[in-house]
Amino acid sequence: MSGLSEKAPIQLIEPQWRIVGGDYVTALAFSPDGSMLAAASAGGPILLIEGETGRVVHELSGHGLGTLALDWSRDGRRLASGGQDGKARIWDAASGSEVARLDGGSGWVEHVAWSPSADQLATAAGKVVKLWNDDGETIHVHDDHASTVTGLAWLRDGRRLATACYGGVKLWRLGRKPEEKHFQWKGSFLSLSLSPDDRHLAAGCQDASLFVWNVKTAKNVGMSGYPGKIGLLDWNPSSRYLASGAAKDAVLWDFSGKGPADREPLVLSRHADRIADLRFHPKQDILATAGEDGMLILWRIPEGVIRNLCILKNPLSRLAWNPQGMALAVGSAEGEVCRFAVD
Amino acid sequence: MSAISSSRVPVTILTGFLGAGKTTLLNRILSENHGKRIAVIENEFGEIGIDNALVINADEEIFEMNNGCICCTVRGDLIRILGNLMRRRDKFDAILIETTGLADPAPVAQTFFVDEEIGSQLRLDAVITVVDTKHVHLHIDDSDEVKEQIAFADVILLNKADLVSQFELDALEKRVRSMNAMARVHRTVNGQVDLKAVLDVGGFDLDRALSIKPSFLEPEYPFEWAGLFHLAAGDYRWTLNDGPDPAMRLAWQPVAAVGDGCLEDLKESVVRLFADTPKRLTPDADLTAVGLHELDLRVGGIKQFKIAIEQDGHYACFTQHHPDEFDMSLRRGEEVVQPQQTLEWNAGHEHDDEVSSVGISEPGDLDYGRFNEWIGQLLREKGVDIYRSKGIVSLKGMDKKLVFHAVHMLFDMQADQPWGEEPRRNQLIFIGRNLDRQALNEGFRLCLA
Repeated sequence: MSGLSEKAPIQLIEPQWRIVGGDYVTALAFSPDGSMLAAASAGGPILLIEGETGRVVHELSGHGLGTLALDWSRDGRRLASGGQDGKARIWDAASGSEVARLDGGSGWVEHVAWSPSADQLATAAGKVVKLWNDDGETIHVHDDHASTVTGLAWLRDGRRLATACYGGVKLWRLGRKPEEKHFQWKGSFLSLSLSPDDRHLAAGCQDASLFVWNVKTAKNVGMSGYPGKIGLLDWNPSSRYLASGAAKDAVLWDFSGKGPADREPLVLSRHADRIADLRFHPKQDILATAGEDGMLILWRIPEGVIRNLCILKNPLSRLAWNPQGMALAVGSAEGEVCRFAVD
Repeated sequence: MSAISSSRVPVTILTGFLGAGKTTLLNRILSENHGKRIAVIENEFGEIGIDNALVINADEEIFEMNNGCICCTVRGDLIRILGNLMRRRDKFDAILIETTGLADPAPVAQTFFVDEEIGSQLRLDAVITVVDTKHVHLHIDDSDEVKEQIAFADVILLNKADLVSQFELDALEKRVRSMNAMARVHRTVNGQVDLKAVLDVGGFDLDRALSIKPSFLEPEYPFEWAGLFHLAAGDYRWTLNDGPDPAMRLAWQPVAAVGDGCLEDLKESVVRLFADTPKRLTPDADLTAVGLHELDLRVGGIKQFKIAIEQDGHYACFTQHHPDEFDMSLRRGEEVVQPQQTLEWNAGHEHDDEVSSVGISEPGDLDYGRFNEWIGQLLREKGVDIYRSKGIVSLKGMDKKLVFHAVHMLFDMQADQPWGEEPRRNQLIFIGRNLDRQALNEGFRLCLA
């Protein structure tokens, strides 16, 4: 860190386009080729937006009482959504038509995730995780959870799925019971993130602590001292850095070498209000944080120096990088969606 | 306080056993033309009429926290529901959370302390507990949930008040107050209560002054019976037979404003009168004079005391014991004069409740360091048993009031309004199980600067 002598100037960035007038943006996702951006709202509707121009191609009806989750299939042809109506829906991206309506099984559908091979969709509603085939038929149900499932992550093999809830993280081999592994900790887990190399499962806790398990050995490391609950987690593409967000701070852990156990984390403390979302750049070591203070900050990792900054009028709620890493989109609590170019 | 905190949406927690009348009260709140948009989070499938409200069903998920406080739990389902509710464009003026009949209110209340995101957007206003006055006696002795619901309350509604006698209601109110001296108690029929008494009450509000009335802290009344008599001028006498006590106190006074509840209205002033030194009277003495008398009843057999009424009018008599215990009556000649109204305060069933309130009200300035240490240690060690505590204290060298409140071990303290002209005083109240009044008093005194 001390080797960095020159003071890098902060670049201000301006949105390329902006859409206004929706509801609180609850989920934001670029299609795999970056051509489309899907934006879901607390009011229900989902916008399908042309990535380059900001033109709204389709307004999907979404979920009554609010849409909570989005995920694009790997081929980009289908978009899955989940919401407070207790349903998951699959939409055809080209036509904007609903192709399947799936019953989540209990309460709100809070998570949807396509398998890496894209022929299966996992949904989480209450304590029930269901797996669906391409035709919208249930193929597996994993409902042995101590509480509402708060996180869902596929392993790269597409045959194992990790789920988080009260009491720890479970690793399921599809269709088998009981779970293959249970990484236990008596705490209320709110977030789950699997490192891209499948080695580590990170889960954030209501009581301001973070646990990371080695998937193979089940060894774990716990981090505490956060200013609040940990609802945000993301790994960088090389799986070296884990970013976690609690209250106004983002905290970065280095998993290289012997891991984070005896290292000080890097605390990124600049937001004046709670951080609503954080995401690593898909290729470079840049972390983007979006705050309820209206600030979008791009941090150079691992130095933690601010590279880009944009201050918007409204509290931000979600952010998404396009897959090429050339642009990112943010959504706000007032329903705005903007796109920024990043060089 | 800043504009931000006052814009936080108030949240009311509604507790009470199944059948106590929570749903009736909810329906009433929702149907009243108050112009507020209300969101209701329900646990039980009740029948709720909805026009201007949103009703959400919740599945109670109680999570233990590993934050060094062994009794700390939160409602995970509420955190998710409330978080999503605050994202909606149609904003709500108030949120009501109905708990299951058997619920311990602590996890709901603690959720607002533990989750900083919820705490920044919403304000826990009050815990309202609806009590089924007709049936509560079936549970109150052996149900921890009933005791917790009463102990946690900021407002207690003694509902179905029409189904029990005045005597039973008084006895229940007395008992409820002895458990929770902080709560405001209302007697209701079909949940009929002024909405101001249940919404936006400010029970958890550190800005609002504590309304701890000294008489609530000692809810024992020094009298068991009161009668209102209409008397023509003339000579009367109180007659008594042998009773359980060799003496009895009695206060006698003319009543100017006669109406329903006038004895109840006189009650507080008579409490003060009973604190005076009584005038001791032996049988056949004259007790006409206004004031507190102590009748010497040591002589066996029927005794009498003279009363000379000079003017026609209404007179109230408050007695230390119930007339039945002494076969006591007011007579003109041999004829018994019946009272027009009577009130009774139950002293017969002394419940030794393990749940009680300890109030401290003392002048003097406190040393901040010692006070902070005392409260911190007290809640760490006894917080499992102390359901709620609240206080306003006067710190040495500080112009402003220091206010605090706690739910079990979770604790919030801040500087409030300046004292100004108001006399500086410390007022604290603890509600909990097996409270040690003496130890609390001693601990407090050690904090005096």
